[in-house]
Amino acid sequence: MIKTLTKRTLFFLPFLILVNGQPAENSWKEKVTVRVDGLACPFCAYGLEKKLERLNGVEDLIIKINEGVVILYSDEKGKIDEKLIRQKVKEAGFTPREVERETMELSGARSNGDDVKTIHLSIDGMKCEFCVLNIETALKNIEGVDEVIVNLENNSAEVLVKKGIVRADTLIEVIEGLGKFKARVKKYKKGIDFMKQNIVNFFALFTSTGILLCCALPAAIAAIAGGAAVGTFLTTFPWLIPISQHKGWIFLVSGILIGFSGFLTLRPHGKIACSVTGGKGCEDTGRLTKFMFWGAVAVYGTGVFFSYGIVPILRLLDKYMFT
Amino acid sequence: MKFHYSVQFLIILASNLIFAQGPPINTNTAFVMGLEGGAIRSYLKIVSKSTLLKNGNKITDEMDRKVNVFAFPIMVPYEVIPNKLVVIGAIPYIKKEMNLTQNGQRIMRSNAGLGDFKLLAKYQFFQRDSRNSTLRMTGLGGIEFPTGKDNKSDSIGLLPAPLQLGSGSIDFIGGTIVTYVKNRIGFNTEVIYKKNTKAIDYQFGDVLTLNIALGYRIFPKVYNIYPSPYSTVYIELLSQFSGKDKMKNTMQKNTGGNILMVSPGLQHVFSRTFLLEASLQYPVSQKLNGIQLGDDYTFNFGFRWLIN
Repeated sequence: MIKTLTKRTLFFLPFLILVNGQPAENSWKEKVTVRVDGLACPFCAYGLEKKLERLNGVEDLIIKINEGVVILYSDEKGKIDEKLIRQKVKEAGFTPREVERETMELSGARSNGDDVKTIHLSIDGMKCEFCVLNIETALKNIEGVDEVIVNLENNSAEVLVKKGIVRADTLIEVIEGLGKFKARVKKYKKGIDFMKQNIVNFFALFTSTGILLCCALPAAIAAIAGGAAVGTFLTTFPWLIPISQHKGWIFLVSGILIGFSGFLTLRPHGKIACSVTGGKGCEDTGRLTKFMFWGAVAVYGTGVFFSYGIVPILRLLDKYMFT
Repeated sequence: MKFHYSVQFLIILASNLIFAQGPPINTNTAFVMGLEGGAIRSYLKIVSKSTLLKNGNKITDEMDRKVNVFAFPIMVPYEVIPNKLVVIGAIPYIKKEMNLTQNGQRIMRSNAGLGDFKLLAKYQFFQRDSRNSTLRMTGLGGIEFPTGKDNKSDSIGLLPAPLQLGSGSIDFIGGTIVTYVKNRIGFNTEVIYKKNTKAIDYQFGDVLTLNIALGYRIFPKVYNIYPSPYSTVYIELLSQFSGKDKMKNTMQKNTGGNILMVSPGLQHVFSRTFLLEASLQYPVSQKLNGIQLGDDYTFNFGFRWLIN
């Protein structure tokens, strides 16, 4: 199975790099501004972002905590359902208020999807909110720039510009002209990351399976009164005995590994890169990675249950139900 | 049974420190949103106890007792009903050491392994939002299962109950949490009661916890675009009122009492899903029954990570 997984990853790798080589370009037609009350805990806004970005028609979004608003961008007028927006905001734990829709107007041209595009940039050298503000102000002053979203966390910027008027080179020149920053058009190399993820996931799965064999399975067999079966099992696999003597540490190390692989597998950047660049290979590898991760979690959970949960439960049942 | 506070302290703190929706560090928050599925929280907690107290007053300890507890819990909250119900599973890895002088010899008794598994639920029953502020109230309930070993022995004999990894009993937790946040300032308070039941022949006393936390975002002054890194400082007042333990139905005079701790802390959010935090708890008042070891300090350093 391991061989198959590695083969699949290697098979998809060149394809991933190919499909991820081009930065995505979006065209927006409608801007929906939603006033959201209760936006007082930025760390809690994660659920809001995830729920809204999955809404049908949402191409991009920006959350302005201080103003208490969320701005959604769509490539089609009226595509984002207001009822759904309100529902998702409530589900995310906040209170939706006014919703305003605004068609993106372009001077000297009809407002259609071909008139604007998004340029994705990577920016090095940003250290604080002042840098963000500095870059935003500089870019907004360029003729033909409609919207600027600078992201300090990702060291990136998304700039909505009028096609044929503003080029990526111009934006880079202005940013670097500020003196402290280096900018370039954003490239995605998530194929490599997926490879790393799968290696970590494999180790997480491996250690979890080890736990299941050394500690959980014998505990489970013993719990259902199969002492002789445990004896046979350990005689056949004597190397399990020293491992089971340190099962606390093995659980800890496996837990850390699973945590790390979960971080690599489920962090939002991986998902965003895939959805922006698209491609079946990217999606398939993503699915494989997730399958390995959740497999490891399931095996680990089974191990925890049989190693530490089943005996107290049986003891309790014995105490309260059979006496 | 002079060291039972190390265990009780951990049990209470583990139930307090389980949620991943941001501030504060030691007190619970009433927020049950922001998870978008699950989260992981873990931290290293170091508890040091070496001050011998008699009825709350410091006395000389001829045995020069020192207790160190290292705990490394892993907690996984999961959002069951969006913005309403969160369930949390938690299990700690604990290492306990007790050093003392007996018959002129310095000895150490220690124990390490996984502790009791806790299953908790938080249900939000009140929410009032306005621009950049929110007031929320949440109920908390849970059960602690005796998954940690409670009968470990060393060369001297059976370890005392406070040095065991588990309580050996099924215990129940219930309480209420209130959170108010407006712009840079956050206020949290909680009242939690823990009903401890009897193990084979030992029963820890019940514990009432009252905590208050005040948080202030020091950076940035104005939080514009999400996500941006930000830092918050906290000052927390943590109080516990513990009943006496029972051993074979006999009340233990050197157990139980009241503790008030002050805890400054710092939390930094690096990205939309990850933060680091640290706090130092220092005892302001320790009115412990009989003769017991008091707390010197508790240090806590950990992370919270949102997954989906």
